[in-house]
Amino acid sequence: MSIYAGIGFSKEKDLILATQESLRQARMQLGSARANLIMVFASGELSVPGILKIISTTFPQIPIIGCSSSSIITPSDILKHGVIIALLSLPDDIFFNTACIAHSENKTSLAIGEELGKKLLYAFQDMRRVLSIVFSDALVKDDAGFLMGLQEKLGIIFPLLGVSVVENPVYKQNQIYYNQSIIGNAACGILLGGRLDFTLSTKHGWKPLGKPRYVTKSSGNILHEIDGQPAAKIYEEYLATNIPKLKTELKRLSSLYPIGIHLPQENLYLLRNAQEIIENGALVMHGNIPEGSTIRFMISTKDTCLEAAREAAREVKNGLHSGKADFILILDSVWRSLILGNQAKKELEIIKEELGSDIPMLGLYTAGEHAASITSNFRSKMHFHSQSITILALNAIEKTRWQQKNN
Amino acid sequence: MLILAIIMALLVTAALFLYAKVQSQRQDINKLQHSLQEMDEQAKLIVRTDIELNKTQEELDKKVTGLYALQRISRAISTTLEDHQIFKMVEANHLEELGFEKTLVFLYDEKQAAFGPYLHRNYSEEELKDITVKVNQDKDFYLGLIHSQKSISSISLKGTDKINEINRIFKSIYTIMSPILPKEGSRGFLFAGTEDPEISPNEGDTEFITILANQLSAALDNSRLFEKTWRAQHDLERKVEERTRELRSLLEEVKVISKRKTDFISSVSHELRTPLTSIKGYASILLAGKLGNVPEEIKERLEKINRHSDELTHMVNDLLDISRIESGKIAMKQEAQDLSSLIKIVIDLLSVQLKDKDITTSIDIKPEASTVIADRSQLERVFINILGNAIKFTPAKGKISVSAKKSQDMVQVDISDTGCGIPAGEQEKIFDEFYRIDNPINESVKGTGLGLALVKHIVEAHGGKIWAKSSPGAGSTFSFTLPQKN
Repeated sequence: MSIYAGIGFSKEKDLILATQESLRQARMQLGSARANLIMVFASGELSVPGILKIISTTFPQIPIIGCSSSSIITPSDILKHGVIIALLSLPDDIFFNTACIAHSENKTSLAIGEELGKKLLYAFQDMRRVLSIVFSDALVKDDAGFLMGLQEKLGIIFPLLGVSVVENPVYKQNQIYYNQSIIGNAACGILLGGRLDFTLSTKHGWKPLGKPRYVTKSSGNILHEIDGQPAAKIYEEYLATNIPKLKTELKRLSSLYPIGIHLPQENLYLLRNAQEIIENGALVMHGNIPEGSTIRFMISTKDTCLEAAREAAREVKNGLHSGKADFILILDSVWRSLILGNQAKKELEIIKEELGSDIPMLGLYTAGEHAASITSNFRSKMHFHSQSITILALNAIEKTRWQQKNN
Repeated sequence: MLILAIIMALLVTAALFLYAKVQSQRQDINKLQHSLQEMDEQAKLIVRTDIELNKTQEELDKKVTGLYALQRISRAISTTLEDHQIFKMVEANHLEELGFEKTLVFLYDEKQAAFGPYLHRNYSEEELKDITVKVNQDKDFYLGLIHSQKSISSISLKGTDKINEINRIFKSIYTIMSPILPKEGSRGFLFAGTEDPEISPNEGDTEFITILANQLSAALDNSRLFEKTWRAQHDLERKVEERTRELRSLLEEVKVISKRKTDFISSVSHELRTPLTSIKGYASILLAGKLGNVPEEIKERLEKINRHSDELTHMVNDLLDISRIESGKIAMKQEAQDLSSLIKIVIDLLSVQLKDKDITTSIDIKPEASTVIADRSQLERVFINILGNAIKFTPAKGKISVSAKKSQDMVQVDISDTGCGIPAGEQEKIFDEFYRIDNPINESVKGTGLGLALVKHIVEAHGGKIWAKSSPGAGSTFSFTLPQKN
């Protein structure tokens, strides 16, 4: 038995009409299968509790998880305004548990991660754990601590996909959906296990340029010095600009030209874009940069970005045992739209070309993802990926293979 | 010693070799470092070129997106011709594609001397109220913007207190305002703004918003022109309707009056016939001398009474016939009549008068028009009347011709004479009751003025038409149609 999914979305401005239209489409697509998990993503203006109330009235006692985003990805378009609902019907031998935790001033990110991990594990006991998907917002400020806390409970090399929710610049908010509640400063997640198979790939499409450089001083996500020089100097040099000018355009420019941390064992570059210039020319980065890392100045084009989306889709396709996914979740960095401009929708077309246009899929724009870089049932080290596109495909393992695996 | 010297020499040689090698490697490293530095410099050039390219691409993308958005807005607003609907057609996502999530339109109402909001996107009702109050508090500035006919923006007003104030009022960090200037009616302005610090608007955006404001102005003009035209048409339709209603009511009145007239004539005619019969009876008794000899002078007067009574009876009978035909009391028999034989009989009946004036007659009945459907006695009255008139008005040695031909489903009969003719203005009036043309013949020959009226009623009662064509001195042609089938 496969995972069945019904996807419905709406561009309606009216919250009730939008939810009803999305639910109607999703129910129609799901057919006779019974939904037992609901995933919801909505744009800022539709991010109100009413939306979840309508869903839970229609599907009482079915867990709901999701979050707000600056754009939602539907099977046919990328929408700045709208809502998308996935009604998932997971077979009985795929187990799951959902949980949510609100941020609290007197708790460390580590403690919050541990608490969420503990909640997710609740009632899971000895069942085979396969994957956890976590949506988080403000906690990401200390993402490493939060992740460590989660791994502490779920397992150090346990596959985890952490979604960093993007803040809507206009609505100045990012919100987590959990059952009937919309919560700010929170994290929610799902732990999946049993007869489940998944494939995941994360790619960005940026290429290194210029000579390698070394991080001579850093702490967490603060990059103090590169090659013994103030970190901001790298942008001053490459972009032929000065600090005051750079400050006004830093976010945009560092999205186009991020810093890439070289990971020689995995033959990849993790991207980090600068958010702010602070005293002594230090840069506040989106994600940690370890001291001693080899870094490069990175550059991309529309083509390399689109090619990365194709590579990710192909990698997912190659990792699928049955050759076809039951359900696809797309996590696309909000910053990629800056370089892709009006070709942003092409990524979606490429994914459909590679994985099939009839597969139920949905997604959202994110601020980044925590995931291992190597795909397919990975047990490798996790990283924070910025400016990437992440494709997650879920499948129910065929019964015979499942039995063989268990024996 | 020798061995030691050899070893020393070897060591020196090795050291020299190693030194040379290190030197060579150092040179290689320097070369590599130099190349790397050069490569880095080239990379910097690439990045700087790429920045320019990206900037150009972004601007181009923005322009393309803007043009698409403008095209969509233009298409949308051209589908409506109602002021409020025009603004509703400007969808939020269209302006968001231009980079502005906040939009407002204010129009100035001259009567109220105040600005009122017509479109608002991404503002709560409370915010809108607050902005409206503040706009009206500083309305001279916004009226100035309208009169200047120029757009303003955060770029054109950069660093001024005014733009900071506008941004504060409209809750925006970047603002463009463009006047909406329709040729007629309320004028106003379009506001587009954003709170998104990531958006970096430029002069091109001002151009787009100005174009959009111009499109809105044109749409308002169209709407108002349409409204004017619509109102004019509506007024005209209303007037036509009113006039038709009046005419219909008048027609009803005329019908009522006509019926009353017919009823009156009918009843008067009936009332007149009884005393007339008595008058004529007594006159006949007296003339016959049944009451004793009547002197010649009295006899002469009695004959006059008798003759006038006959004329009056004839007139009363005609009137009665007209009123009966009008009221439908006389049913026309529908029988096939042979026109030639009927005309010949009538001409024969009038042969004395024809002979007296030496008038020649001719008959030309086309074979396809030889038969008509009519009431024989009534049709005879038609011919007697028209031919009688023709004889009356045709001078001696004149000519009268009767012809018949097929005209569509009817037979058209033409009776022409070489008489004095009828003036153009009177050709229609001759069919009116009691109408007599003012000419010397009519003055000398007596008539009731009812003959042609009766003919008209008979022809029309058969489903035909009658008309006359004539020119004074060139004779007249009386034409009428009759059906060929029941």
